Amino acid sequence: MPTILAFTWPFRLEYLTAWQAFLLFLALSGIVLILGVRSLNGLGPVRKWVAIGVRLLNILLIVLLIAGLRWQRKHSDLEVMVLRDISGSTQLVHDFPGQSLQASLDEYFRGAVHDPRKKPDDRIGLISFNERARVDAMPSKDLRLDTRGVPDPGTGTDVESAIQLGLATLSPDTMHRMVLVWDGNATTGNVDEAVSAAVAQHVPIDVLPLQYDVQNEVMVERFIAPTWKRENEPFTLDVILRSTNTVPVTGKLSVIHRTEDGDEYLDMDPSTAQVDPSRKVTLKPGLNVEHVHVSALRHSGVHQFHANFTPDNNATGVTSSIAGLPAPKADTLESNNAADSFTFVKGKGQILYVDNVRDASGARGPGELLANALASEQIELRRINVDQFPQNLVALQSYDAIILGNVPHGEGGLSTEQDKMIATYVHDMGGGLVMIGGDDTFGAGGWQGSEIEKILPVDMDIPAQRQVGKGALVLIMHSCEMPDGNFWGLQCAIQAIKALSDRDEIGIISYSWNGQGNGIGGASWDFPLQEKEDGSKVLAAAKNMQLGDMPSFDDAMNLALNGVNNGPGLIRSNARQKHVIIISDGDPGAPVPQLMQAYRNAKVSVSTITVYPHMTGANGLPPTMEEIAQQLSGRAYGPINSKPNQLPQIFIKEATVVRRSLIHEDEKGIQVRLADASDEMVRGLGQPAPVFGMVLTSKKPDPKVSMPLSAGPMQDPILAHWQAGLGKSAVFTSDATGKWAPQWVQSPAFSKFWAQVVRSVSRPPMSSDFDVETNLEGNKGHVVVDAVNKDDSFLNFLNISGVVAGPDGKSIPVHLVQTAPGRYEGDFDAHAPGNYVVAMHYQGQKESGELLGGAAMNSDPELRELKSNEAKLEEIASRTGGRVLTPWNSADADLFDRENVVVTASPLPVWDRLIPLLLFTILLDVAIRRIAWDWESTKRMAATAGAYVRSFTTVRKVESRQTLDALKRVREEVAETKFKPGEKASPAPTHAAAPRPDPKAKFQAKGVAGDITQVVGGAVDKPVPSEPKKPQPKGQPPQEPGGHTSSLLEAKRRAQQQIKKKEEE
Amino acid sequence: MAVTIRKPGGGRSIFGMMCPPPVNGFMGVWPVLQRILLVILACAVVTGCGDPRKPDAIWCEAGMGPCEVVYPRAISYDTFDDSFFIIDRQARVQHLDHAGKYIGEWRMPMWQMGKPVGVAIGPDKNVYIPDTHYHRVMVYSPDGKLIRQWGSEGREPGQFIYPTDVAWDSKGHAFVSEYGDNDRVQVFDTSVDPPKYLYRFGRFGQGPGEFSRPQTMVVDHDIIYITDSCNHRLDVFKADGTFVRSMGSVGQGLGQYRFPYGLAEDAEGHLIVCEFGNNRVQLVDKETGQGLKIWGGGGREPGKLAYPWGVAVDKSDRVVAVDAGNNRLQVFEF
Repeated sequence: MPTILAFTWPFRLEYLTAWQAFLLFLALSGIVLILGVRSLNGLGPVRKWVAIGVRLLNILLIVLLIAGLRWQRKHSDLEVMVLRDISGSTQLVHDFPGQSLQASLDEYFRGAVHDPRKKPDDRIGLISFNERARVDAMPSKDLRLDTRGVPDPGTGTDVESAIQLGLATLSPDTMHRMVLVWDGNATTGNVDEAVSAAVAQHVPIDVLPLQYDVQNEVMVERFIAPTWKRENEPFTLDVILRSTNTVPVTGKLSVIHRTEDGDEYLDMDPSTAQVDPSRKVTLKPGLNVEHVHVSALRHSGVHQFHANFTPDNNATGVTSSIAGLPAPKADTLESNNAADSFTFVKGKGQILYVDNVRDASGARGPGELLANALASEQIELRRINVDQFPQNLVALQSYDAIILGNVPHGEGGLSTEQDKMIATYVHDMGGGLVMIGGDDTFGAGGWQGSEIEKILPVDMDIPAQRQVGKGALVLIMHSCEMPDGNFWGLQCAIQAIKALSDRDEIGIISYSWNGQGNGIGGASWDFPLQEKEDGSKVLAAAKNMQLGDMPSFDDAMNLALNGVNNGPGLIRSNARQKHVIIISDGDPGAPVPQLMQAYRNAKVSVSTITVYPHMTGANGLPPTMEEIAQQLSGRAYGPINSKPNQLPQIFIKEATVVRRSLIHEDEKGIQVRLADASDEMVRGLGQPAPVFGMVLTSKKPDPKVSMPLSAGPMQDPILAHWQAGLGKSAVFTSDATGKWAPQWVQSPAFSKFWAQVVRSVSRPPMSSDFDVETNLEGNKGHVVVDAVNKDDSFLNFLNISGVVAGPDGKSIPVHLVQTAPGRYEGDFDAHAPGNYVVAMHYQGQKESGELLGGAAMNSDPELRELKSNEAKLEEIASRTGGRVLTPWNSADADLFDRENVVVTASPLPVWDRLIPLLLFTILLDVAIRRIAWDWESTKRMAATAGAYVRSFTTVRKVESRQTLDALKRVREEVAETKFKPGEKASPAPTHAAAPRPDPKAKFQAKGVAGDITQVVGGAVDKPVPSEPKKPQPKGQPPQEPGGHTSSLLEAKRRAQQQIKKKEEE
Repeated sequence: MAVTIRKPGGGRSIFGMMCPPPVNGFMGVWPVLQRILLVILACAVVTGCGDPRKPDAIWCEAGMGPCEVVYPRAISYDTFDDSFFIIDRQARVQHLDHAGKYIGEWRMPMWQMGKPVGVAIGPDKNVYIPDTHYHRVMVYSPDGKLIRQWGSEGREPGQFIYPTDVAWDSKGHAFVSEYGDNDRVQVFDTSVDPPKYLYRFGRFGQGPGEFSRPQTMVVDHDIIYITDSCNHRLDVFKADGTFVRSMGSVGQGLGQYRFPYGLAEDAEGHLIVCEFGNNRVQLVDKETGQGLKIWGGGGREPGKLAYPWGVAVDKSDRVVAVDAGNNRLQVFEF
């Protein structure tokens, strides 16, 4: 954006260069000159050249318009944007004058703002950054720091995003300067690129160094565990510790083995009989390595370890030289004294069964049928409840497949994060998934639009021609009173919308000042109740929501139920299930009792979600919200005063209320059709028995989907499966209990069937001939695969690629290249601390398979560097023309100094000035050529006009009586002389003989008798007969003694005579 | 004697209109009148003055600085020094002079639970702020020093749930309105510290003498006018709590209201009602309840309002409307 320039010329051209414009003008003006010189000779020399000059002016204006003339308005105000590091590393800074670093910085900038050298219109803003940047205060004349949120140190430092955000935030109509408050250590982002951007935009960056140099520190630098081990194979963990102390430091080291059954300490001294949970170690300055023996592990899967070092109280053994003072500390930071690692143990595969199957009373138990059936087929199973589901992707790697039994999505089920995790586990890590039906799953469980739906062989929606009662949902949104209310309101709406089918109806209501056109009072339809269809319209409407301050629920609930003419409400909907979700702080007034009764009559349920309430009742909820839910057969959620990310889960769950119609139950039984007896899942099972219930879904229109079992005339899927990325998934839309599949449960083939299903989707065992090693160094991860075959010869020319699932759940592609015989290596970015799981697929000429690896980033990247990087800061200041500020001396800071600040300008278009000017010059051009100016007449007109104006502005004296009388006498004498009867008048050209009326005489009607109109004319009371028309003899032209043409000729002749006479005179 | 005369031989104005002949020595008057009219017409054309929809002034803009507001919600006119106090959603109390210029500010001590929705100037010249979400009344000096406070959360006499406004009768008794399913007005003797509870009137409901969120009060000759917001009407009581009448119904016509929040009284004794739901300010005859004039309407441009919360009238009968959704105050006259 070339808006910042060093100017000497206040104008610039937008579309053409100056040379192009000049040449264009030259070409056009040449034509005008040539034509003008030839064709305007008749105007005389002066008029000709004036006309040509005006025409050239026209051309110039047109060229300037075409070229896009802009006026460069220079700016005189300075805008300073402060970029302040709030990351975890700032806790290492101890040299500050105030109570805390942030308070000291606040004081520093307040002092700088009150600098008398600051001009009144100079502005200052504040951006804080850790791993992301955010605007704390927009630039203003006075720095306001009391509205920012509580600083969160985060997990990294991205100064690039801070500089880029600062550049984007700077106002275009000021000069610019940035102040970077930083320690010089970044964990992510490309600082140099951002600095280059600042240089390109001529924005100097002053730096205020946050200095530290941690001398007394002990940290766990790395914690190394082998990537793969076999069952019952002992191995060793390596703990690498670093000490920056100058003397040896003593402390205790312990390692915890984290298992599914809980944490247990490893024996740190195998030489003794008992288990020693810790080991006393002495760390010399620099790196130290401690080996920890791990005895044979019995279970396959992922085994996670946690190492921790605790320095002794007087770890250095050094006493203070001053009596009474404590000994110097050996460790400054505790947070980098621990580290994690994990090892994959190869062995028999294990299945994770998430059992949410309940009986009629709501108690768990029926799910045991499936667990027993699989156990009888020698399948190792771990059965858990929904709330025991693993929270990270590494833990899932212990299992070859996951079974979800009647598990819903959202509140009471799996979260959106877990939904993504399972999808990654299957699609990118090669895991297996089986989803089994029930009342609370598939479309009826809120899985519509989820990540899991994408990897399943069926869609939660059903075809439009499938005649199933639809649902209708209205969202009443009043989340404006909570932090980021509009954002969370939108997220909730999106999740609720996604959970509905295309045929379900959805409407959104909010309160707005301009909402009276399509609503009741201020409550209006953001999206009138109608079928969702593909969801694009309602999502667009949701994104345009402006959530206003709702004074009462009356109007909104009235609108939801009764609607308006151009937006019908739920009462006019033919949906089978009608539901309303209200999200609010509970402050609006309660609905009137009549409206509540109308809801009950219409069988519309209402659930309420209370967010950040001002007041709570006995149950922690505002009475209004609780009463609405209780009286209208809904649920009351909340109060939610933190972690608003749980809100979308609630919306998903509540949206499924209107999707109960997807549950298809038939007491007579639903016949199941065997479509493909050769399918590996149903092979050898014979004709399937009917089921008595199922959740309706639709097979994905993909040829890879196999559907061996279907039901009913519409061939709704009962059993379907497909390959989803690296993994496989299958669905069984009926259940595995006696409720919907009693004959299946009683069948001897029940166990065999489920064993075949689970084995079909399970991840194949990893290759035992490959050694996978994953290391994390700095912000990079490094994967090494050593590939040998059973004969211990290298496997070359393999194609190995896959994905890395980071701690944020995002998948990073990784591709390995061969670097040596049988050796393949690849890198990936690793910025955040946490677990990185690498899943790869290898393909050779004869062999193929899956590989799994991973590592944990232990130390917080923020605390990896123990010394600030002043050199980097000085480099930034030097490159951008900024200054290195002295900390804590705001008087010398002079943040609003103009030195090295480039004067900026805003280009303002001037076409609106040029066009009127052009119109005027065009008119002038025409006027010069078409109007023969009579300068004498112009002078006379000017004189007349001047006299007219003077008559309003001058004071005249009334003539004396004598003077007036004299004038009067003269006039009478002239009149008597001129109009004396019998005397000849002065010669007159034509009608001199006609006597003029006596100017002295007043009107007098002399001797009029009878009708006065005979004398003065005018209307009479009798019709006046028209003059009789003279008959025209036939064959003769009409005689016109003085025709029109002849009159004109006569007039012309007289005019010529007069001109001739004048010329002779 | 030198006098100004019209142009000799005239009788035709610059607009081509025939003027009446000069009569009895007034021969110079008509042209002078013409020129005056011309000047007035030119002024009207150039300045566009006379548009009753436009505000006379707009005060404040969005922000946290002086004369900047974030969703202002309450205003009160200080008759003692011809100034205004406003409160916004950042719990900032700003003191503005009669021209809307910044005098000073302070912030409420607590605001995490919510911010005040009312402010009033007491007969003792102090600023009374119903600290709505902390269920108390705070009393400040005009320069922002906390003088005292009273009240606690509860439904008992002397306790509050969501107090909204404070007003005084001729005896100096303070009337405090509140809502939160506890809609009522309590009366206190503030001459003692802590203020002594005297009596109360009203309760939650839609019937006569009942409230659904009483928001603002005006006391005139010991008659109390209250905006009964969620019942969309004005309620009238005597100072002893006797219900007199209700005025208005829900709607958009004259004399109708939708969520009337703000209330003030002008010099002629008319009520000025600020309607949150209709985004307008209405001039009302307090005796008949008849709506006389309307100003505003939903919008963002000058002369329009978005979520207006409060209104005040100064000694010159200028109306200052709290245009909360537009983060400004608009000044106009009916």
